Amino acid sequence: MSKKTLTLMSKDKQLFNIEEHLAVQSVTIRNMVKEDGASSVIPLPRVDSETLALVIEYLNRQQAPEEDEDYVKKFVDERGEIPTLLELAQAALDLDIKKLMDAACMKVADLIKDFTLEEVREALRIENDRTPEEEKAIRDEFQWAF
Amino acid sequence: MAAQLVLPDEIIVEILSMLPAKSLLRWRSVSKYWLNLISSTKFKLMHLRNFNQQNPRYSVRHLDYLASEEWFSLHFDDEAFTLDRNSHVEFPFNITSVILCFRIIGCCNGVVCLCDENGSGSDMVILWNPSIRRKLTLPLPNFKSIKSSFVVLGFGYDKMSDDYKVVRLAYNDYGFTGPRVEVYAVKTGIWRKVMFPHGWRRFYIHYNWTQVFSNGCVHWIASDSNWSHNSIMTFDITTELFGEIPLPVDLVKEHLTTIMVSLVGESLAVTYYNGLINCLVKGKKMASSTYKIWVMKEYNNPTSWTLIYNMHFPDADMGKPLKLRNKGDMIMESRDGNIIVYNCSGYASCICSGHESGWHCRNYVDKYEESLALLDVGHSVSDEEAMKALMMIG
Repeated sequence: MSKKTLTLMSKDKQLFNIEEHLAVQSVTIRNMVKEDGASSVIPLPRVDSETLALVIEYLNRQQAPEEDEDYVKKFVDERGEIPTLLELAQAALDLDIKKLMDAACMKVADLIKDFTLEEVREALRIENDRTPEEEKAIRDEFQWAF
Repeated sequence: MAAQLVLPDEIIVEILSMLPAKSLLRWRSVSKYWLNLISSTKFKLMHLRNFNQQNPRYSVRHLDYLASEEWFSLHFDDEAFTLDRNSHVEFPFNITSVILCFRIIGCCNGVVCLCDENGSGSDMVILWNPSIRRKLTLPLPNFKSIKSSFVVLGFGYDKMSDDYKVVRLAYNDYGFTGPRVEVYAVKTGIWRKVMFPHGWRRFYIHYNWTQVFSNGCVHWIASDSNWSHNSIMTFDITTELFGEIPLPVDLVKEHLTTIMVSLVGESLAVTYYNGLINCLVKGKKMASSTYKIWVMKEYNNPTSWTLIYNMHFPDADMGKPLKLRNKGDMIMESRDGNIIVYNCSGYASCICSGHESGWHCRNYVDKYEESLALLDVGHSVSDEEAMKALMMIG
């Protein structure tokens, strides 16, 4: 019996094939398959093709369970750019692949831990809604942490 | 990359929960949302779990009050117990004299509970969170120490009220009457009297006590009036009720000074240590030591006590056990005050060198947890402050 294949479609309408037994590591896909057999194409409107290619690479890994922890760490380490990691974390969130999301977030945390306020706002796309006075009050409270 | 879309909250929260407390303190001014998030109880508990799961470490406090030597260091939970050089912790409660030093009661959720040790008793209690350099000096208790008294303390976290509590048992008349009990809750800021069960009037804790907090309860080793039946006395931090857990049968009649309550991983454990040095046997000086550790596999189920560590050294006293790490390594304080890690394969490494005799050392080893606890109470630590407060009491 041949293995069943699923087709995933990225935000920019590119198609990716993946064997069903590997794709169902994603809880989101597993639920879709359970509900309607997912015969046709599964659209992923928030995931771009570059990121989806990475996710597919991750899902296709051939690792023994005991090596898996190290593999996912190495996998995100090799994609050390913050924007890529954030996209990957978001895709993993949408697809509900907990291990991948945790590893991507952990790597981002490690990369940004020494950032200044401005740097972290830029990296995590946060709008500054604090006044300079409010900022100063917090800075004065924990001067040593700055 | 295309348009910079706003990241989902789940991602932000997940990332922040894996950051050191120092980064989070700084970033409370990133935005209003971040300030509220980082200050929330739910986030604080998530951070406590996520960060420390990824960064397991131990803290070592070394005190030699005769040499006026004291430090606090952090170590990774690796094979070699490597010193964490990037996370320097200033210990703000340094000794000023032989009679003015602090004792660590216990650690819970990253908060260290200390009391002064000035001989007569412990009236001053401090809660200290080293990762955010915050401390809270508790007001003086209602039942102050007198010459003939000794004080037992316990410290823990109440999940129900999201609060830290200290319980204090003041034994007067050398313990011939029952203790007077009071509880301090950080949120209320006062000591409140609590009843000690009447039938337990003659339930003693040795003045050399230790305590651990686990499963919502503080635990001490205690004994009945004629020191003939030992058990674990518990105090539930939420319900504020006392209770009792039987010890492993082998320990019920042992001398109280040989039994310590401890934690192995998350489990309640008891450590038995009997060390002899320079005792004369047939005119020859002999030394020996025995170590046994039981773990309660299922909390509050005495049939689940399991002996997991059993060592006997027929010709040497290896010293006082400080902590058994999950991997089976034993951290010991040798007779001459050294802190030594013995790993399972027999390899020993020395963390700190003592001076000839260890009787004036007080070393402490515990799991170190980075945490945001006490962020909204207490105030920043300044070096002189604790000492000044102590002088006022003294």
